[in-house]
Amino acid sequence: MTYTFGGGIRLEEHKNTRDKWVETMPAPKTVSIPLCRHAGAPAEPTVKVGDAVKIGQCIADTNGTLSCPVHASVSGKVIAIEERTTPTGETVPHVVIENDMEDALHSDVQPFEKPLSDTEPEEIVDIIKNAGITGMDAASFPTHEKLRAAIGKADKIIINCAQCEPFLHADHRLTLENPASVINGIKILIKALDVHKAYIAIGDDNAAAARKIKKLIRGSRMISVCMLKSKYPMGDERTLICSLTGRELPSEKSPLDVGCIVFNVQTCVAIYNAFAHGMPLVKRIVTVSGDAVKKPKNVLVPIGTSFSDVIDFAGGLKREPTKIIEGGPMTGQAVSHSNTPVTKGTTAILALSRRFEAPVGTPAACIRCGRCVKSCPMHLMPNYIAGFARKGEVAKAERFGAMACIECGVCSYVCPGRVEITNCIKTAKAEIKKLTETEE
Amino acid sequence: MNDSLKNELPAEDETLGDTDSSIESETVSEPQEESIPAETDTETPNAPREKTFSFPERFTVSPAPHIRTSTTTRTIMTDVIIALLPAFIFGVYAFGLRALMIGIVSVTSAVFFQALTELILRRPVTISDFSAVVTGLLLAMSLPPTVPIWMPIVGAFFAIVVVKGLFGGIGKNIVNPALAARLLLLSWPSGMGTFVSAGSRLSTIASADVVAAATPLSSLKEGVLPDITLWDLVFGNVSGCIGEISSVLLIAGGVYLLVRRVITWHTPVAFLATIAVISLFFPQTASGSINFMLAELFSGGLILAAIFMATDYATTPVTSMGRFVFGIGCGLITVCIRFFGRAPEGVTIAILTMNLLVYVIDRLTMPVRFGGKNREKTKKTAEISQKATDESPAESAISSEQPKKKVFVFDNRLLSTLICAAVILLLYAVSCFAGDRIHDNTVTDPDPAETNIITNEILPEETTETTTPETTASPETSNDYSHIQPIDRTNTDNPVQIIPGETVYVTETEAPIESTEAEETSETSETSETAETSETAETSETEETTGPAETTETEEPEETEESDDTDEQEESEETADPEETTEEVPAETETTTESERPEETEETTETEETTEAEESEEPEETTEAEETASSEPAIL
Ligand code: SF4
Ligand code: SF4
Repeated sequence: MTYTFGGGIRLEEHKNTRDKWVETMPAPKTVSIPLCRHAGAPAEPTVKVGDAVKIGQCIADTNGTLSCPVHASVSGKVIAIEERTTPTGETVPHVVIENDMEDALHSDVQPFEKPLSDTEPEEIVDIIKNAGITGMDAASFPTHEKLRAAIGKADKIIINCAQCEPFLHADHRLTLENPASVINGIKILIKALDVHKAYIAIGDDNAAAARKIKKLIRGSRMISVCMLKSKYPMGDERTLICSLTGRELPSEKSPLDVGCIVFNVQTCVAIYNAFAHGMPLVKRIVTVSGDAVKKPKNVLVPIGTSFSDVIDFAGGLKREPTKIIEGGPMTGQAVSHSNTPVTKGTTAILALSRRFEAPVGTPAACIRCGRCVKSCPMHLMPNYIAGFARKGEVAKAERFGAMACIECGVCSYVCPGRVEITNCIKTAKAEIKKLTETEE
Repeated sequence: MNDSLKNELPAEDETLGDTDSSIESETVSEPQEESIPAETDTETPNAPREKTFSFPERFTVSPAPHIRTSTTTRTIMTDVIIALLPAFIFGVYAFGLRALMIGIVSVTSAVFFQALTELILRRPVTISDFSAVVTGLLLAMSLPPTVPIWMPIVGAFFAIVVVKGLFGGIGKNIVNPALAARLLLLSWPSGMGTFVSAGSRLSTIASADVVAAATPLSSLKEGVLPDITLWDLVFGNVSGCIGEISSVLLIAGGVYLLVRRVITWHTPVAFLATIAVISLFFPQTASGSINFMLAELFSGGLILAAIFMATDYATTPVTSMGRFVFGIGCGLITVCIRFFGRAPEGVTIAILTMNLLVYVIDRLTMPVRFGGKNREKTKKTAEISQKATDESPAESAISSEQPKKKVFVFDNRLLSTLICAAVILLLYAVSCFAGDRIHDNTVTDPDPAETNIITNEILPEETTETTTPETTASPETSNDYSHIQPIDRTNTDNPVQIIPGETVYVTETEAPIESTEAEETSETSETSETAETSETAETSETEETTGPAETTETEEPEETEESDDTDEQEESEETADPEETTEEVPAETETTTESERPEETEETTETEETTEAEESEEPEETTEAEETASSEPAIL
């Protein structure tokens, strides 16, 4: 039995990294670690230029809500603390560390001694916070905040292994190669949230991983595997919950309102690592792919490594890329330069050549074909919303449901008239938000 | 249940230690499994040396998504052309090279006008998306093979420049260009009304000797089933327009479009099913209802229109349910016109009317938003955690919720859509009945001259007789024959000269044609009424879409609107008062459309008013004159 939702599309998969084992990348010469990603204030640096740091050492601490401690991913010397551009185009402080190639672990990196059964939820949340764990998807929401809000409210945990964008296979590989840590991570989460049920949601194109996990959880009544129909955007929180529970979450509600809490599988493993090894979040698995990359692969990368270093590790370029994308091709950000650092939310690095430029031909014009309406997972009428947004009629756009859009990119993808629908709606959403803020 | 779970949690916790060690063992075993990647690792040092490309300084930064489907407007239009071609080629096979020439002229002029409009309006030229080719081809396919060669050119001009270009280009037109052009061309019934039977190969040069034949529809109109086998009807061995005769090939084209996902099944199926059901239950002929249903379905332009015109993207709803409603509406209006109206064919008007309602239908059939109230209610019961016993029961609990998705949510919106459609339909029915009543009154009038003309036997002599007085006739003298007059007019204007010996055909073909014309009256006035209300709403939008940068554009649609309206008015008026000889008005229509000057438009209306006034002196005509008069304020 596979679960699915209404709308959405099947995408060409680009399986070129699907069967590639996760390789550990040797630490680069320098790393530049951003002190924050999206939401919240940047963390406060606790080191100075010239300080020697070791792997796992806290280099910046939280100074308020929605921010997360940051740890050194290599050992070496801090050579600069300066403003740089993150993949999302924001300018935030970065700590630049020169690698001394010693890979020395910091003394703080110690396994948590207490057995899990004696641990209080608060303690777990603290461990997670001190390990600097954020959601390891594009949103990068601090996990400890999410957990704190969910204690007592959530009654089921959903682990999202449904990486549904083309090219991306990091989560699949992780689930396949290391199912035990996934399950242990889930157990920690179950304990922290005091829930009785956890679902591991895996796309049906990743049946091997599902089999492995099923073998490990045989006899367990708390953890079960759910197979999802592989279509886009299955990995989105709302569509995922809809597929599994049959309940559609309107945009103004959060998953907690239906008792669900969704964790990315990498986040889950990071929690386990923090608990069992005391290792803060300093590395993540990134898919390096795209038609301009020589040897597409899945790589375990220290946070802060520049995109060009990672691509070099993947054999370098085989043709000139026109775009470097952080994340999947549907929702990812096109970055402006190649020494952008890998952050906690970098799921993939894609180098796409001219071949992937959308075939255009004629100027963008909606021909009212209805494809976007049919495939919008939020059941909106993207063509109308985009039309209003272009004309600046945000009020009308809002009435047509602009705020419910999850910016999945499906409508732009399917549009034969090549209208930048998603982008129009994004702009309209930002404007609507601004308007409602000024009203309040 | 809770207790059992509480008991279970520690149990699982204890196993954590075990799995812990198992992870250790797995991490140890991993390098062995990674023997293959180890090789690739050794290759990596070589890689940089082979590297031929370095990183450019900057990359393209564009909004997500970064990949697109391969379907473009052009591929869609190409598919439509591919789907249309078999039926068109069959038309060429059936009607000779003349059909091919009409097709070529129509397509070329459509493309030419497209390029011209865009050049003049300083828009990017988009002829490479082939949408103009589709419009031209559709127009040619909906014309009879005997039309004079200037008609596809005028039609293409109207379709591309007025209907499409001035409303903002592709996707912004409100009504189907090909159908609107066809409606315009119907103002010249002489050209549009002569059908020949399939197999009569017409030469490319204007055909002098045509053997006109009744279309299946015109005989249906007269209450008899067409005198051909179903086989001939379906395969296209009938008379009719170039592209509409071979239903089989049209359906094959439709299936191709369905397979290529260019169209959805909703509109054609709803359209045809509506007509099928109604004609099955209310057959208009004496013999079997199944035969009548099949004849209704496969005669005339229904299949062509249902598959290719009612699925035109720009002028149909975007939602699936909207398309369904659209199809039903088209079907109902078509049936109304075919059964009650005087024209044999109602598809054109039906689709054009429904075109005007598209925005309303879209609004009313808006899909229920994700998490909208309707869904929320039905899904409230779904709780997977309730059955947190085992994997499979949990799954079945979830799965049991899945099939509950309703295809149609019967809510207020659907209701109001249906009410909307019903009102339109009612208007149609009323106008059709009213038209019929007037028609009946005049026919039953004991006027020997009329009955003579109507009856088949006397006609051969009559034709020549009536032609002469008619050409010179002053308005007063011809008033008596107002409703049958188009017959005479046809003869006078007809470039296709009728050889006296062959006049028999007139009885069959011309009578329906005349009614086509007169029918247009009530319909057009009807359409323009409804058009006004929704058009004003929609046009204002269209104007907005053109954006502030293009000031020239925003001015022009207004002008066109005027000229459009006057066009329609003229059409309706022209047909309303048969006083006006066809020669006069079309000529003026053309000038107004082309020059778009308000002065001339005024002039035309003035002259028409005067003729109308003259007309109303005649007691018989008063009803009709009043009709038009009463409908006019609404138009203006
Ligand atoms: S981007 Fe928004 S409007 Fe477009 S398909 Fe996704 S949810 Fe629908
Ligand atoms: S997919 Fe593009 S062309 Fe089709 S209706 Fe949506 S916006 Fe218009």
